Amino acid sequence: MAGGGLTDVRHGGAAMAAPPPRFWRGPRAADPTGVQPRLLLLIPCAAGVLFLLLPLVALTARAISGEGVGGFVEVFGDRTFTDALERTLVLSAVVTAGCTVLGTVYALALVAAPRLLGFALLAVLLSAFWISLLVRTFGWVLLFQPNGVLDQAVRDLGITNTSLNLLQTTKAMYPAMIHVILPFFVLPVYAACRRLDPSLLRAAQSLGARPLAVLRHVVLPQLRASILAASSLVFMLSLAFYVTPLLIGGPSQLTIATLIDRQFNQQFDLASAATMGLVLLTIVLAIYLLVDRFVSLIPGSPAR
Amino acid sequence: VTDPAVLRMSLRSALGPVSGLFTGAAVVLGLFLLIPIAIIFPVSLTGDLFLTWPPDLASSRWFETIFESPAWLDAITKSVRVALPVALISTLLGTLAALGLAYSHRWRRPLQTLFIAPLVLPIITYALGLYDVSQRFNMTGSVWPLIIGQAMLAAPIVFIVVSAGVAGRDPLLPRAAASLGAPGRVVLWRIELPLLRVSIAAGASVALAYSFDEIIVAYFLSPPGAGTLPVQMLQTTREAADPSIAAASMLVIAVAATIGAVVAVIRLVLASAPR
Repeated sequence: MAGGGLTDVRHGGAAMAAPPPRFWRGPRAADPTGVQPRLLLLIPCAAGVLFLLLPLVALTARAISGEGVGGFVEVFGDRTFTDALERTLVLSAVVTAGCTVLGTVYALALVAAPRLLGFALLAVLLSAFWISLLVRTFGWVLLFQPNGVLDQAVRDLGITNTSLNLLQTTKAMYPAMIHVILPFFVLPVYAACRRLDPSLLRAAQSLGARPLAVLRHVVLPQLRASILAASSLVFMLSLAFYVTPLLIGGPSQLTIATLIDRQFNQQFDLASAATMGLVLLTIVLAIYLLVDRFVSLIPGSPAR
Repeated sequence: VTDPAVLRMSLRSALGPVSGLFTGAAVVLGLFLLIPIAIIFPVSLTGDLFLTWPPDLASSRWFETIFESPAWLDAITKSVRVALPVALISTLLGTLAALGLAYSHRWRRPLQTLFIAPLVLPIITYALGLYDVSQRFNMTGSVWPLIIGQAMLAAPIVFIVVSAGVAGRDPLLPRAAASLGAPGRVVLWRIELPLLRVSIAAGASVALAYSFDEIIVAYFLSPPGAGTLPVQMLQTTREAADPSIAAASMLVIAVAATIGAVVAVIRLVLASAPR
């Protein structure tokens, strides 16, 4: 095999050099193609440091410019902030749990449903993924608003004549958030479902496992890593979600993101918005580092 | 990836009634996923001044309003002016990162984390940071902080798409070229880029669509009254609900659908073209 040969040459060359033990191993033998990854990586790395890390460092400087670390202590003493934090954590936990259960069912149905139906289900999911988040949220606003689609449907069915007053409640945020976030869960888990091993399923069945036992002991363990990765992704996304809580929750149901928006766009208090934004960043970063130790959060193959 | 037909048969036989139950639940969920679009579409065609249900479907008045109003036209223009450089810059960054990582043997994990990080970064925090920096450098009136910010957020998408392309290409081709004497830059230009053109074009289109749809950075970094199309939609929603937003929504969907169709055509044409 030509590839094997080339690799052997490289390894052979390294072996011949027989390097004495050194603290610094020196430059690694160049790639056999002569392509220098360092030159390729120079621009993306510089951009990452300059345009990604620098704004966050500047923001940290801004947050501690007034009272130093005291700003962070003060923010946790603020009732509005702790309420918003609690609401955000509960909302994200419920949305994540909902997406995990519903999304796993949906992903499994995508591979188990008859061919045409599976195709239709995938098309619906991708359309929900592809269509603007703002537009989809706006559809939910039209559904929930006073005298909106839902109120009229309820009236036409003769259930009640008064408005359900769902807009600007936390209740209305759940279906809308799950709708918006579900595709982010299903797509990676669907990719894992497509790699399920049919021989394991047949083996379990021939050994007499009942359907629920197959699901619990054969199917779900094979999906565990992707489910864990997707749930963490969904949790991190919902923590920072902005548009849906803004349009559906409104000013009475502040989440961290909409509270930051209020501090920044209405109170013009950049320092306090910065402090809250950094608290949010810290939470997300902690979850990321924790989960990253167990599973890779990087999607294997994009399903688009 | 297993053969889908084999997997489907063994799943259905091993899971028995559970598989049928899941499929039924998924159909209900699929209908749930369609709810907002099923509402938006008829409302955007309505001639009524207020959002009512059921809408009167006989008018294209709100589409005309959008294309005759300077505020909406400015927003559309600004979206285009932002989206094109965003697609260009993020495609450059994502492609360089994917190729560089494919050839590097050290620091792979931290580099990968750096390139993926913007996907999970709380965008609202990042938008604040960008605003802070643009204020320090007196650039609050400029469109460049917005372009750079969206490009950094779109680059991971390009990176993932192109990395999948790198994983799917024949790794022996660049080596064969090198063994025939091609220097590194020739390997990249004449071998890698042509091999990856489908992934790069797909990544660029997704980045374009992302920029058209991105709202948080655009909202935080736009001067009042000079936002992109999503910002204009958000501000209109917050001030007064009128169906022009639904019409604008249909416009956004049409743009996304067009970009999606272009991606599909690119894949078909380039994948079948002789190399």
